[in-house]
Amino acid sequence: MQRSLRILGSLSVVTLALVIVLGLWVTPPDVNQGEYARLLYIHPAVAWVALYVAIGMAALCSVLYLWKRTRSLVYDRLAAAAVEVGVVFIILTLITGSIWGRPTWGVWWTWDARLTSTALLGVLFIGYLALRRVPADSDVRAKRCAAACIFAAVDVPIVHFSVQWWQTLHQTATVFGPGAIQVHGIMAWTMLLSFIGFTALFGWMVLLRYRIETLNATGEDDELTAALVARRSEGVTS
Amino acid sequence: MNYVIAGYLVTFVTLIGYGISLVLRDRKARRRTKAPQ
Repeated sequence: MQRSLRILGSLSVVTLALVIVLGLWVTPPDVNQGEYARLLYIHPAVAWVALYVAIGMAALCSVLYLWKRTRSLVYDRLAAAAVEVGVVFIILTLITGSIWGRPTWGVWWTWDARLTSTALLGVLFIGYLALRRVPADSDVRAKRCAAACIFAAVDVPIVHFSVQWWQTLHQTATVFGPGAIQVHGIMAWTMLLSFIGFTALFGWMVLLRYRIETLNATGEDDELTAALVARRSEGVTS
Repeated sequence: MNYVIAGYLVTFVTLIGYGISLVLRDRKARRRTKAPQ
């Protein structure tokens, strides 16, 4: 795991440093959006990680936990790690989108279908994190959290198709929209780097968060065993 | 351009802050269990 952490950490630092340099200084302003297009080297990649990578991984791990043949606390811990990191990315998606929306749409926030369903997703997964803190046996907690995760993840396709199902202020797909790819040259490369960088950073964060979850669970087991041994020895002496 | 700088600052300061908190929590957990890396 240490090696994977080192590789993912280095990859994310290098690619994201390049994204900052290319995004702020090297790429030209957009013909329609001007300088504000520079925010699009961040927002779509952060949203990609939040919606598809993080929640997709959490939902998959939850299904694997609920399925008896693959049930393992490893999947429960991976889902917990993915959701915690995912919530950070969901919040950043909303903030960066809002900062881009103010100069281009003229408002910080609007109750648009895409924005509202994304905010709902954030609230649902904050609820998931609260549910994890409710004291319970590890298996009971893992089962109820897996069910809650799958229920909350149903919002992801709603977020994805919201721009097609309803009339929204948020634009439809622009990079891989209908027809040819609509971003070219250095702008496309910067965007690609940002997707790689943020995905690698997510991987690094999830691995580290998973290790913390595992170490904490081991620590709790050790403390419980020590307490039981102490209690038994009290019984013997009295 | 102020909005652009604000966007980059919020994103990277948040991610660096969260990354540092993860590293510190990992260290604390390892110390608690005395587990090797």
